[in-house]
Amino acid sequence: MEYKDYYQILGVERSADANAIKAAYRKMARKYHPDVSKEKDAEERFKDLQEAYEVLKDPEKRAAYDQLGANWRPGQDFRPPPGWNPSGAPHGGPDLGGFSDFFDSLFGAQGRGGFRSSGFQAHGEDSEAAISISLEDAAQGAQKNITLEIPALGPDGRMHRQPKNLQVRIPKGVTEGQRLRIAGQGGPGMGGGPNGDLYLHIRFLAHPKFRVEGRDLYHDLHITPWEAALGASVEVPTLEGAVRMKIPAGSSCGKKLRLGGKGLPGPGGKTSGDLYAILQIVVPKTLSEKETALFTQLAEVSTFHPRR
Amino acid sequence: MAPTPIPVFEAELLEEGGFSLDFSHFCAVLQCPEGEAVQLVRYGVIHPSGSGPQHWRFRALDLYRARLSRRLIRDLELDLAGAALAVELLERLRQL
Repeated sequence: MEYKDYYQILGVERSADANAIKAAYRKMARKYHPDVSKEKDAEERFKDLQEAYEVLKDPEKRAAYDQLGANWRPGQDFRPPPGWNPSGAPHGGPDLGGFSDFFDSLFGAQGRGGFRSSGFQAHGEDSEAAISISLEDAAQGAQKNITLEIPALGPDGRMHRQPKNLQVRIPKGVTEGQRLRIAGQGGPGMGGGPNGDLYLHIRFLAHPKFRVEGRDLYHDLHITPWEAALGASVEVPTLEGAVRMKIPAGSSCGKKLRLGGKGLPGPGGKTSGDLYAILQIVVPKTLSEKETALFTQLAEVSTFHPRR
Repeated sequence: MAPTPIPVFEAELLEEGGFSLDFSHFCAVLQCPEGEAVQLVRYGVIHPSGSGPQHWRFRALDLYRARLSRRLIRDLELDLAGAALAVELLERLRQL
């Protein structure tokens, strides 16, 4: 196992007093707490911080740790000295299972025994993960197969992360940023306590035809210059299939046409957002001889001057 | 041998969940003493419907916020007022 330099983890000198250790922990914990931090390795860093603080805040444990001496380097291969029997109090906190082999080799075995026999129960940690779904899945509801890494209690009584496969029924009407709770599928409870819950944060996969704002959908509807000028009935895609929509004569580029109730449904399908078709007038890149002639004729006879 | 079927779980939409948990059930699920749950309401961490513990009804969102505040109190050594503020700000940040 690897030696851990608890002083380095907390960023304090070996001579730091209790107040300095507490202040350093609070500062670092704010930075790396998994509920607060955006750092990639926040969970691991926070676990290390908790472990370091567990030892250094307790004078007896700290004294026992200090007995190892100051010549160890972080990551150095470590075995407890022969006859190791620290005077530090056994660890009895509820987070024992999450600490390292190094910690357990110094304090763990006695602590775990005391912990179990104390009848202590703890609710398992909640787990959070993101799930990406299509707009169609959000509109119609879906069953998704997901694989997560969640904490699990090993046969040795210590926490490990292990993959877990589950199928989740996603209710109709979810939107981006919302959270789904799956009761009892988080980290395992301790001492017979209930499991934590799993929270899935909904993300939408990019859609080739629609942008989303809240429950409204936006679609860039490409039309020809003559459809814009003369009006037309054109097909517009929706999540439930194409529908026909009337383009009023004299429509300009960027005009927003609303298809009521064709956006994303609300929870249980109760209320729906709208679909907005944004007109984009598309001009052919190359013109046939006849088209050129007609456009030229139009340019000659038209009195329309948009820049005046 | 047929592969083991993967269990299917119902997901509850946190933001839209109704007020379904009464006070004692909420405390039991949260594994917290009733006095502590009262304090969470008093400090505005959670917002049950109804007036007074006998009539309170909690949502799954309250459960999430209560657990989050308890983690922050335990891990960051915050007091209840600080945890209430942190929970509120984290929720707002999430919505941005």
